[in-house]
Amino acid sequence: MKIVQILTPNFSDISASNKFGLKSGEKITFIQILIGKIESDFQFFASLPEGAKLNVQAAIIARDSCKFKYNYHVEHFGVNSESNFNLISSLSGNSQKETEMLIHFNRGAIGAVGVEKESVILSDRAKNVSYPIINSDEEKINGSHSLSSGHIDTLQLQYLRTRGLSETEARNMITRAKILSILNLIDDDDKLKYIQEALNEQR
Amino acid sequence: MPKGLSEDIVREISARKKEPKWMLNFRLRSLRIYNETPMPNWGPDLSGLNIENIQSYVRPRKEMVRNWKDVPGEIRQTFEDLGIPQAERVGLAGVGAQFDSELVYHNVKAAVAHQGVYYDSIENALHSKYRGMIHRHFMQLVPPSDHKFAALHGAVWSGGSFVYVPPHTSVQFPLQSYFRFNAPGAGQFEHTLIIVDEGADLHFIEGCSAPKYNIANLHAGCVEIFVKKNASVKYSTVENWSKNMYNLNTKRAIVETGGKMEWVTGSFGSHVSMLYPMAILNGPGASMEYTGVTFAGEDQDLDTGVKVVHLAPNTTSFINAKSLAKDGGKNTFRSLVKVSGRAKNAKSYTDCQSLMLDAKSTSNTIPKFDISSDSADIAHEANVGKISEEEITYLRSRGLSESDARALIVRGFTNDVSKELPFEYAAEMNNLIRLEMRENM
Amino acid sequence: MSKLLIVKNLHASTESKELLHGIDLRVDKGETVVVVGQNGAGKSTLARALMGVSDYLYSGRICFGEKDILKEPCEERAKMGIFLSYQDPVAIPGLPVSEMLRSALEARGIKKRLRDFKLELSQNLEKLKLNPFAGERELNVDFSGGEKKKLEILQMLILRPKLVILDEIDSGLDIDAARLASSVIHEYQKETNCSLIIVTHNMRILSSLNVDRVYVLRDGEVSCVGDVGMLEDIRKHGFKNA
Repeated sequence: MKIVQILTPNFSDISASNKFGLKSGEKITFIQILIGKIESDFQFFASLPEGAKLNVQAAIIARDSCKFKYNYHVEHFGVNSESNFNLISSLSGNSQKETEMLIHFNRGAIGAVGVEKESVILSDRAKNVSYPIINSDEEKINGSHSLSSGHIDTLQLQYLRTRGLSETEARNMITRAKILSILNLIDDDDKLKYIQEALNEQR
Repeated sequence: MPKGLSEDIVREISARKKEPKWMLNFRLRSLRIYNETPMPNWGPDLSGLNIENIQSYVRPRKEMVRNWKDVPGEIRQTFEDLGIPQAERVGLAGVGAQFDSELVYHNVKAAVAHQGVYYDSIENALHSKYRGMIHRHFMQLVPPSDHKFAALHGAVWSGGSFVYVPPHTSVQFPLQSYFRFNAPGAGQFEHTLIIVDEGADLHFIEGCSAPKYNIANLHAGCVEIFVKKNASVKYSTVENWSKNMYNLNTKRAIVETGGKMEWVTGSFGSHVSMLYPMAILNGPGASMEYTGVTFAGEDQDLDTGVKVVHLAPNTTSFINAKSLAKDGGKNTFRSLVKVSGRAKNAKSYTDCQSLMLDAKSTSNTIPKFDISSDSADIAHEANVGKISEEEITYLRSRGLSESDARALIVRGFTNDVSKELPFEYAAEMNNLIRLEMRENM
Repeated sequence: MSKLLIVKNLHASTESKELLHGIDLRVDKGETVVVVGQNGAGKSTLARALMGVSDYLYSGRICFGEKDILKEPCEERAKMGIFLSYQDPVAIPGLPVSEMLRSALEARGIKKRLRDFKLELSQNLEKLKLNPFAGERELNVDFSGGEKKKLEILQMLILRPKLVILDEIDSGLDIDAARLASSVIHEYQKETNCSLIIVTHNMRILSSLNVDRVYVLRDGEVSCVGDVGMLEDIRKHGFKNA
């Protein structure tokens, strides 16, 4: 099952909460695009029994003085459950973001795999606070998280430069590509148009 | 017995040491802060630490172990297994002054004095020409207001070392502090203050792998390191406090322009640890490197990590943290990477690996990132899991037993730390690991 | 024959080790030069040195046309007409192949109408037997090894360089794909009179090409220079005589 959620809080504070209790063997892909302008608080919770597979791909585009709080919490209960969280954020103006990501492997969740990956691009006045947490009570699991902030892959940068792009052009291209890699998961033209409009509106 | 600490005991400590007035006032101020500060509301369970009766920890110990035979059997056996010489065992076990640490200490002091390096107990240094320098630096990096145990330390600190390295001096061999442990009150609230002046460099080694047994089971020491412009300091610790100890040490360094601070830590002992060596990168180009391994076994709750604050441009930090948990041990890696808006082009890279060796243990990683700079390059990777079956199978196909294969893999896992230590320490650390692994198999 | 590339006494080293010890090499316009050698001989190091993509310390001269480009950054060398086909091309999620190519053309001051560009792209995709939608896919994301190599050749066809450096283009291509790649490259060379420097292990890529010169590298040095006959010799006897 694939769920797409697009939130563009423009006129009021928004507090959105998503809770998923997956069934055994169920697969869910959740794509979330958050384009913000003011205070926003997002909660995401999922519990994963045996064989359940969760894939969350999220993009946060924060502008001006927007304040985002994002709380991601996954409980692995079942054998061979899998979770994958990929969050890409672009913070411009003096926006602020605080993300807490928690993956907890309960005892008995043998063979479970949980991945958290966050990539942040900041402007010079923006601020990002992240807590990527992994707790495990079970040893036969694999948990990993990676965070990169302002980090541009040197191989990617070099590749584009060997095609004639300047360093600045290459950096901008890679940064845009990061957000697009999430947007491209939405293969619904209406939704993409809606996102494009929201992005233009907030310029 | 009154709750908290009384002024009398703090005055008694200061009087015994014949300290300058400013130090007594400092202690009293710390005492006030201690009594007002609540216990931390995060981290491991500290209820086993009898904080109501803190006075009993601080008084000169009448119940100090008098006889070798009173030292618990497992401690004596570990000394045997690690091959610690007879004379040293006694000193390390706090049995009294049979081990002549004073003589060894004296020789080290003399050996570096000709380089202009000053190395002495803090108590002596307070009466030397460095007393002004100490006054300007003492607990400036870790003020008593920092947390409850920093305040406790400020009130009752005793023992420890003061080191000053003059500009452009490279101290020819590592300074060590392990033999100080049988001094009264030592091994509990010792304060180490190290100042390394411009362009100089120093390697300081704290602790040793032998279990340090202490009836009073709290260690709330403090280490402050001032790394001046273009200086370089490496601080290595292999600690193996006995398994009844609460190890709540605070270690902090401030690094000026072009300076470098390196922390190397092997944490094996204590019942509960809360240890987060920290560096403040205060000048352009300052850097910090942290290499550490923590091994939590049965009945241990080791909450360790590292903190770094980037306050200036072009600063860099590298963190390589490894932890192991077995037999129901609990391991928590907690870190902070904070990059201020002024830290243009700062770079920070963290690699954190946690291995769980059985199904009973717990492993947590709780990193925190607070980034306010648009040109900083921050990367962090962490992995939690068990020893890869593929690696074990490979080694077994070369003839090793499963337990030997696991021990070898664990050795490889901790290699990053052992190769940063002088040979004897690395050998001792590897022995410790061998022992820890053997207990399980 | 007019000169295109003259490399004189090129040294490359890291802080602790020297990797190339005084390489001399020449490629004229329209020539095909092959670089062979055992593993670790320095072939890829040389290819990357010509493109300017490794952070080594270089000395010597690399003259491209009239200009010594030793100190030029790789994007300038690209705009001058040097192209490197990577041994292991990196993936850039979120970046469509077509977008990257259009930007690369714009960087060279070439603005094509979208329709013309799309047509050229689809013709070249077909030539290389790549999926017609490959242009809209994210660069190298979930491409097979062979597809990645073909994509490198696609980029060459669109960007039209003067000097093409192929770093082990044939590793990852099966026999038929290697033959196809070889003929596409040959056609491009005929059309543009470009020069080729081919670093290779197994020589399958040479099936449609006329080799003018062979350089054998050993331990970071040119151990011998010969013609196509030398390749045959190496194929039969290994590198011991070279």
